[in-house]
Amino acid sequence: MRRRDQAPAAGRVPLALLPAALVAIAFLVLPLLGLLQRAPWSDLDEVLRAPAVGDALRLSLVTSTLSTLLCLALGVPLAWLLARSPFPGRALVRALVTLPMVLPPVVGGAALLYSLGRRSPVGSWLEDALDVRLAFSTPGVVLAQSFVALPFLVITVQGALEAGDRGLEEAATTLGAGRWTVLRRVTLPRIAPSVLAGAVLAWARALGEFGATITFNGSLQGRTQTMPLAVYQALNRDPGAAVALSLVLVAVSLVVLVALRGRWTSAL
Amino acid sequence: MSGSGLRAEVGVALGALDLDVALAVAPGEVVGLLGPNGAGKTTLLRALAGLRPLGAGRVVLDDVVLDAPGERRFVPPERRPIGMVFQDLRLFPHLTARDDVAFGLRARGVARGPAHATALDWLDRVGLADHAGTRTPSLSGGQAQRVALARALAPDPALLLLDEPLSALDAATRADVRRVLRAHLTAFAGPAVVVTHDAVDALTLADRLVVVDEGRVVQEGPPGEVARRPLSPWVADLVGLALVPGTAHPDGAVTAEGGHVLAVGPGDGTVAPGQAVHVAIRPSAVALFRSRPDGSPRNVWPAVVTGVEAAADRVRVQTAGPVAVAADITHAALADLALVPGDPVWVSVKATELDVYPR
Repeated sequence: MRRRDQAPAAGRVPLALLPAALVAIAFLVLPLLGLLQRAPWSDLDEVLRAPAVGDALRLSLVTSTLSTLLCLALGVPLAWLLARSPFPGRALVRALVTLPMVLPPVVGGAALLYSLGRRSPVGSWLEDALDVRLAFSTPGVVLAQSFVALPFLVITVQGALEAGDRGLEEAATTLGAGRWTVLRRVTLPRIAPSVLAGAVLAWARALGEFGATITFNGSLQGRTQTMPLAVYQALNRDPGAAVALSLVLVAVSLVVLVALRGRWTSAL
Repeated sequence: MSGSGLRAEVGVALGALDLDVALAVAPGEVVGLLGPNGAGKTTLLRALAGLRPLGAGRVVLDDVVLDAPGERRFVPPERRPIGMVFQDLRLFPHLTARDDVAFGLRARGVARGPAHATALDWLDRVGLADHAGTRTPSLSGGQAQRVALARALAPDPALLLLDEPLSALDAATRADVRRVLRAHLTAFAGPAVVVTHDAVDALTLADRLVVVDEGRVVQEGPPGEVARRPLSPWVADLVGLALVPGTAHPDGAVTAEGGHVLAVGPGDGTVAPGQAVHVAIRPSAVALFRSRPDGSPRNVWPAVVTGVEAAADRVRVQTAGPVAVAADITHAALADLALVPGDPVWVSVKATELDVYPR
């Protein structure tokens, strides 16, 4: 007989994995402790009240949320296409979609600059014809963030669509549901947890985005200077302020991730 | 609802086997589609539902052509007036029983209120009025099966297709759901096709059986006829008969394949001398002896026991000999004979107990 307090063998973690797992935890937690230890606790209040901090935090929350919405609007249809329609060149498109994940964000920012910046054909046309300037603007920040965040959403949703049970969609068809009804009433509800998980990942990636944003948009307070950019700028001038800003970023991220993770994002 | 029913010639290439089946089902008739796994039964249903386009042939329901590749006509599944119950049910896990049953009505444009009212009515008819608000994953097997039936029937389809509707249930639930299912099949005005490989389901639910094997119809007829005079080893096995192919003699005897001559009864006059026939042997007509028996039975041969299996008040003994047959004997007889696999045994069958009919 097995002892009662012993988990079934299949569920038990081999002890040999434990040290490495503990090292991993330390590796992730120690830098945070480093931040806490360097924080200017005595004048934290004053540092955080600086107008630049409020501007950066507001801009970060607004742009990362807009980026997430943009990723949802574009990424879910793209994931659909990649998961469900075997068009020629699909393998290539799948590789392209994941490219922003491996590319250094600075390269992404440079690419955006040369494709949509003022001196690019598209950018100059946008400015001449529509009086729209994307580079060095808040919409540009959203674009840069979306560029790096989109793959996270696409890959998550695509995986759910590929793993999903097509039998349910067939059943819906025999009940008279056309493609749109199947999508709306069967497929989307079934993959909703994965869409949410993908959106959270995309939001987190957008919130932390630095390289593409600063390359494409510079660092203009209130317009393009998001939290990561504010932290970077403060590091040179006032390291204490940088640490304080970092802690705010950590706190905001943690609150959102913990709140969402427990409740809705079992797929995460 | 009135119509001319279902007329279908279904040709589908399935790689290893080609499905080629003609099927006609009258309004109100329930056809049981019987056959071994991989015979093409499910593919046939899917072709009728439009989930699998025909390679060749036609599907016509109530004079409307649903699929005819020769005429380049294909009505997609969502526009066919067909209700289907899948073998694995496929209830929507994110919906309640009521919303699941209402799905077909909503998809066909019925407003929310009336759709819900109809769904509740159907749940009541299958005895699940109390479970309208239950999410489908929380339903028991029998309940889920009944919801699937209600869901297929709620939009008032012109054709009902059921793929092994009772196969996932345990014996007790099965009998219960079979009763519900039979009541609804009887009440259903259109043609219905029920795929099964269970003898009881086939014999109690269907008005007519169509036996399919390797993509072809191998037998068709009233359930009693098919059960009494099966034409395929698979059906014979299903209803517990030994099926011996052979050739009829002028004197009424039959030479089984392999050369053994069986004495048979007078027959019903349908068998002509020289004709290829089946001899069906019921296990209850077979007697076993340790030594060669004397007396009237004219069919006696030595055999070897290959299997012994208890079933309720009987023991089924499989034997191999010039003709392979099974015998049903009592437990007491088994004790007297003390048979185990490998034992020699004498098999005896009365000539009048053998049923002979054309192949």
